Amino acid sequence: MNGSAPRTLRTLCSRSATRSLHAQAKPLASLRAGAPLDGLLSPQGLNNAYYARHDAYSHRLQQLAAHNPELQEAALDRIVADNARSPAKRDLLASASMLYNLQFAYASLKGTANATAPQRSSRDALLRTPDTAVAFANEPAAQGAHRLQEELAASFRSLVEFRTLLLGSAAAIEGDGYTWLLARKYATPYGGSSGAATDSASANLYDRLFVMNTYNAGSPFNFNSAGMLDALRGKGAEPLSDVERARATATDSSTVYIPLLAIDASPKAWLGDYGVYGKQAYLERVWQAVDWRVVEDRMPKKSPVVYA
Amino acid sequence: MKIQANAVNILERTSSYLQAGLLKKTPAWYDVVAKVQPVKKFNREPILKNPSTGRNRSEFRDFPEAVNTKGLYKTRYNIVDKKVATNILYKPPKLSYLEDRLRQLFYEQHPWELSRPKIVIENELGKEYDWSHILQLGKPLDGESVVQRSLYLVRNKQHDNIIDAYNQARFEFYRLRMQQELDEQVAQEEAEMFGSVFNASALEYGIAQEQRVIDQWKKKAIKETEISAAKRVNPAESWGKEDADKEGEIEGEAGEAEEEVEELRL
Repeated sequence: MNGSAPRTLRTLCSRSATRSLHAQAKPLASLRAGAPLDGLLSPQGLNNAYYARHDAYSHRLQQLAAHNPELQEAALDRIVADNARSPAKRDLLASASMLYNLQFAYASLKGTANATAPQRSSRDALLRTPDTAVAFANEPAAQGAHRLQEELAASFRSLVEFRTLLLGSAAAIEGDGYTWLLARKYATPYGGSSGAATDSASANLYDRLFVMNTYNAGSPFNFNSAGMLDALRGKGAEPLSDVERARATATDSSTVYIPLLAIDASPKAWLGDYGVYGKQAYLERVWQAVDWRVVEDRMPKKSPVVYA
Repeated sequence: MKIQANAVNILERTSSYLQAGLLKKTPAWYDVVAKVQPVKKFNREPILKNPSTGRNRSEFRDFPEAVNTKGLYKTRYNIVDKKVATNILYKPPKLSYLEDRLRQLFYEQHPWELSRPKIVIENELGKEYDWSHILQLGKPLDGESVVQRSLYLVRNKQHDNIIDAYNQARFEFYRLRMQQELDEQVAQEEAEMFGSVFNASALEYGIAQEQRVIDQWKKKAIKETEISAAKRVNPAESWGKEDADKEGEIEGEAGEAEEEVEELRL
């Protein structure tokens, strides 16, 4: 992100800004190593999906930040936002981003009590007829997250549409990646609920929720590549095509997306427990295992104005 | 008129000529025609059963429930009814299948499905599909999938009427289409994130070509408008005319022409 983005992010990251890198790189307290994540992952599956990756990313990050006291005190999302435009900091950015995504995704998962252990899907899953039901278990309201449920219905028209979009986007990722539920903090050209607001309470108003995919070490804080190619191309390079230019100007780089929920769509999470054909089954279990109260706690205040 | 069967007896005639030694050489077509013999049955036979519905066509139509124009109920078949009923037996029956009606309904409700590439091979010629699931290996998802799936649902008593079965098949179809569209979008996005660069699509190429012509036309149009504007404010017109009103008018005209050029430039 360029220019103004880190400034607005500072307010977003205020909650975790005081924590040191060492504290953030600790495994989540809500999970237990050697135990299953009930109804979602077996002990081995949880190890593959979370602990092995966590150890690798945090180890690499500690190495890279070893001689940099400033980095030692920085929040993960700040590291991502600050170093997003520097090719030299690629390694640091990737480890910080992957660790942040992993911690974020698994923090909102809890076991489901009444589900059986995960099973490997057979080849028939390829031709499985989709379920046309519009009612399903584990709605946000069932866990008391009424505000979240209302907001989801307002942004995606109905909960079933949101669920289809969220799980469908995750299912469509071929490689490694996350599907995010994001709240948009829209920067208006007129200075409405933009980042120009001085007090942090009004700066964190969101207007709508969105679903977005990130791939590999992609981050919701660094999704916008506007202007990046110009910098890489340098002078005398080919001008952007019309389509590229339109895309670059379509998103306003000062609009910020605040993550609420992440779903891990990486094969590292589902391949071991659910088998090659089991991604859909895994995603349906993930929906069952989402702790919606955690998601609701991450939600900022709603802006009175909703933009298109 | 007696049925003229001379032409189709060619095989028998040639055979007897050969046997009698009238023909020395066997004609080239002889074996072929012997293998695939011409049809000799020219008698029209009544078709008593409609193969698409299985209904008996020799039955008379039911009487109308209401009274006729004379205010009477019809109770017996007249000679015209009987003649019509006999004539109709020799005509090919109207084939109407439930599948056709479902297809028509589906494509009326989803006209854009017609714009997708389609396989026109008939169902009976291809391989047999198992419609216990709507997705098939080797067959793209389309309206025909919905039709076949709803027929399967009715045949296997999962629904007792065709409308419910059709609706279920339709909703399954929607789910899969949504997933397909998402898959396409995400695949492109993912590829771009990993550095793929896609060339201009056919539409974009077409638009670029069109834009080139429009740009040339615009240049030409600006030039010609300037020329015509210059012609309209021919200074010769104002020679010798000292009237201030006239001058004002000419200036006004020149102003309008300039405005036109400006509009084109925008």
